[in-house]
Amino acid sequence: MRVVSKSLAIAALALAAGGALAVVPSPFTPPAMAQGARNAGAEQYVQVQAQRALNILSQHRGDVATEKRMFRAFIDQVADVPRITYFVLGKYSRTISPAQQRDFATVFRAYASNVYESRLNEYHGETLKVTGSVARTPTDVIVQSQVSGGKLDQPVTVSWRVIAEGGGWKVVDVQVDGIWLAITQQQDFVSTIDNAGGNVQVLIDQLKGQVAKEEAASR
Amino acid sequence: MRSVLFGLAGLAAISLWPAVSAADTPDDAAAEAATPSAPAATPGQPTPANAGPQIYDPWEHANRGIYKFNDGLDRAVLRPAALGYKRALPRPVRTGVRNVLNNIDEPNTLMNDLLQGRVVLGGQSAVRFVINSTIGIAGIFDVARPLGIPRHDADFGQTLGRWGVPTGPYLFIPVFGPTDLRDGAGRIVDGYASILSLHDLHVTTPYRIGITVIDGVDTRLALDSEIEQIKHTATDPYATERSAFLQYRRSRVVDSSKAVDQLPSFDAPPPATAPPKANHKSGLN
Repeated sequence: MRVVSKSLAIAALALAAGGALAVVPSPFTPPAMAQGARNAGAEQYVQVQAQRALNILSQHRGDVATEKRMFRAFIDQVADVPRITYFVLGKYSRTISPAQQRDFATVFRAYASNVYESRLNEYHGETLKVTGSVARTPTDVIVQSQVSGGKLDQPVTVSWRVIAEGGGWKVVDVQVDGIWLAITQQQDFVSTIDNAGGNVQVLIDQLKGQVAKEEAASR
Repeated sequence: MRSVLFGLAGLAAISLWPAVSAADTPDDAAAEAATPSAPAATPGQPTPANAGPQIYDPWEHANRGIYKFNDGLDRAVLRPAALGYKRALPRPVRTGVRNVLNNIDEPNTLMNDLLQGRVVLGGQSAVRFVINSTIGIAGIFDVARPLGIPRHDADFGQTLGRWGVPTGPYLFIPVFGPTDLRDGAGRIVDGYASILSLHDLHVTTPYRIGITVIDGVDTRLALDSEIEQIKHTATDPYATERSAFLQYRRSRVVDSSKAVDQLPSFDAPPPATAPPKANHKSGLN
């Protein structure tokens, strides 16, 4: 229980870390490696982007609005938001209407930003070292890393799932202590929709309510 | 020395099950949860390859009832107790308490390392226990870690998982939270196998209860920001905790680098339903 929730929080942190402000174009290695092999291009991508994210997150400017803006810009650059948005709906991603899909995409972006931005100030000089990778396919790679230093008592193992498309890598999921963030998010959302008899609108409305509440609170 | 420790750890007596290991329990529930193929949504629909691991929660109705009850208990008693503990004791003292609790658990970790055939890890646990119990003054200081021997967890639920025992149904237990049938049983065994159960140590039941309470309070405190985060952001906190728990326990049993094939696929959305583009241009394309 303790480790689980801790891990979940670290996963959130890790995504936020992934969500820092890297602007460097990714080194992209052509998909030439077999399944199960390491992928040097993906590893290099994660090493550069994630460490950059941690560095920038560790400099607290005190200007929350600026930090949030840079964070969102970074997410759009480094994370494959359309893929993640589609993924977290699980089995319902194929059955909802295009209008609902657009509606969901908008509210999910706001919701996810709120969740991770609330943790942006929790970084204090952590460093990340890539330790290896495993390719599911040449364009779908899990990169393993260790995050240490800062406020961490012990090094934390963080894995990054990156997918190559259109000449660059993008992050689709982050795993800390065995817990994948996007998978957990999907199981949260799918359970909510299941309990609403399969009505996706119930989830969308709930997310809208949470976002509105958050915005009201931050005013 | 190791054999002595092993013998000690193997002795059993009455103990409150999660006395020392509340923090590290459940394991493998997710083992079966990670079946590669997810159930088809509806007839005629393609099997959703993007569905996360299957969840086996046949007692969900009862579990959710207990979850709700536990939430009330948490608001009324558990969380206030944890925050009171934080106010009462400075951080270095609380760290020492946690170190002692962890050190008490070390022989059980060693035993399970050996049951899992992980001799090197077991050796690390043995060395940690010896160093921390002596130089570390009864475990108050974790002097082994700066020496390059970090702590790791091992428990009997994990051992069972590595032996191939499936998790069985998910369970939510009052006060102690999420577990599953295998890992809950493993916890009971861990309690019996604790060195606190050693007859010669004369740890009486009131002491064991006290240790359990302190462990629980400290654990709850360590988790506070995470629990609050889940409660405030998850659309279904029960399902979120369950998912995280089952994945975590699975990761303790299955080597993640060998399980990548079982991960769900991240398909690109079909063009017609693609979410609107962000305002910024992507720097990666």
